[in-house]
Amino acid sequence: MTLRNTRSATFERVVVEPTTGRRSLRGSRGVCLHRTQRPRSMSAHEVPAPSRMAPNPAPPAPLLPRVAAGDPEAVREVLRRYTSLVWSLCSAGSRDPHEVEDLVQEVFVDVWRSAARYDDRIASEATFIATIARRRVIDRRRRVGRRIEQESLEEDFLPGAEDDALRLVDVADEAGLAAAALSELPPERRHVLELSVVRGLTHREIASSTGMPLGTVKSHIRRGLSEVSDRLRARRASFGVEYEEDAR
Amino acid sequence: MRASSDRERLFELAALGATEGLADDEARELLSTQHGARLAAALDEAAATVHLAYLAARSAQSDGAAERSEARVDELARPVGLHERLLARATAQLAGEQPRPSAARAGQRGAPRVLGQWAGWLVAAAAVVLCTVMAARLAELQEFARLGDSGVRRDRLVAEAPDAAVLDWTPLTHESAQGLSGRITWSDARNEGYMTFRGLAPNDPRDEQYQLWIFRGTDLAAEPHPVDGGVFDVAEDREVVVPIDAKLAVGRAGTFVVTVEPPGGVVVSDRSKLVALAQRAI
Repeated sequence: MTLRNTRSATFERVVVEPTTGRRSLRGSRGVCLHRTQRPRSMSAHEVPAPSRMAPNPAPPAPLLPRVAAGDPEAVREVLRRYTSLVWSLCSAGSRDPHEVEDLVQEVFVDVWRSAARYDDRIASEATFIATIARRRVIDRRRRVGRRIEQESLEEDFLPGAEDDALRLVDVADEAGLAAAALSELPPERRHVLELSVVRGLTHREIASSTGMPLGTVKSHIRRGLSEVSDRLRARRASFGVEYEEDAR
Repeated sequence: MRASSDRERLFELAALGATEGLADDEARELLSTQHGARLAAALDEAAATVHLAYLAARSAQSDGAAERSEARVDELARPVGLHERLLARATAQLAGEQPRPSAARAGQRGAPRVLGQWAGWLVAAAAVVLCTVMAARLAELQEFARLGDSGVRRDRLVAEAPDAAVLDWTPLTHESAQGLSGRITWSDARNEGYMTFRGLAPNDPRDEQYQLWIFRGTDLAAEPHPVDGGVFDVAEDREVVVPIDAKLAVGRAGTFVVTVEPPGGVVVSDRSKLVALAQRAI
């Protein structure tokens, strides 16, 4: 598995000009953010792109098998490495820190329970944990009713985005693959996918806010996820991991 | 044509599940087939990687001069002590043994000799009592932390999942099952369940572990590859609640079987050490 060090990488973004559709690559280092100027949320036309930095020669050994074996040091390391990530994922839809903490606790309970079935040939630990976290978040939203406020979608309540610890998370190369796949999507589809996956809007809310027909929104989400899934499947195949069936 | 529309329907459900979730009947429809279960897993993973890609990009985007002041915003958003609380709960959840006897002995050894024989015995006795009480209390707290959560989740599953089934365990031939009773609680729609055991013999995870297998039917011989429900350990000979860790979406579960396997479990059990069985009525 190829991991990238996002802390020291010159992370770059593909910026798609909305009018021309042309893509250009921009580096993010040297961007000076004033104290009152928060990092902007990702616009519909900006796509995270994989870094050009050379991959780490030796990816760190996975922690979850050690957790499954009862290694307390591995538990500490997982928390050190991924708490910020899980907090970011869980806090996107709520401003109540107690509620978010409950959710984070539930996610890690699931992570400890599921540690034994982690397979590093299939996904990175970050993706494995993020998948668990997203399921919990979605379950919670459905259980308590949707309370996503547009304000909470502002970047100042996406903690973790500015957090040192998040930078240290091993954002593995499948995240880079996702970024690459996103960069090739039509801007409209990418925008819909971001609203749905990252901001947590329902399909109907997206249709309402964008003016797109609901069927079009659903189609964009399905196709966008399918594109990413295809990339991940191809990556697994390159590692010799059998994938039983086409995702579509 | 019909097959194509069925696949489209499953695809639609999987995308909906990966983004805004599914109602119970929709989840049941999606997870009732292997294809649906694979789709669900694939699109869940795709959504997670997309989310990671955006978070990573946003993180890198903030890599600028205001980094320190922005980090302070995160400190305010994230409660103080979160990491410690997570660690405490993880430790309690993963703890398998309590330090009661050694704590008591340590107290005994620590009694001061200079107070004379009787005073020394009294102090030692008091220390033993105190340590024993404290250790017992600690054990209770850890026990609650370790099992309480699963028990609460089990009860919540029964209360919230309309399809939740509760089945009694039938002890089988392995020696660990002598005196075993309890039940299994399972929801097909949620692919979630909990095992409750009383009298299941404690195991040494260095030698062997218990493993759950989930069969879709009731004819076990007809299913050479049941779904792996996860390995687990029993630390004490008392009631335990163990969450089921199904490796795949099961769909409709017909039979649950616990076996004893080598540490870490196996991919395919030889079914030689059968502990318990719970089965739906046909």
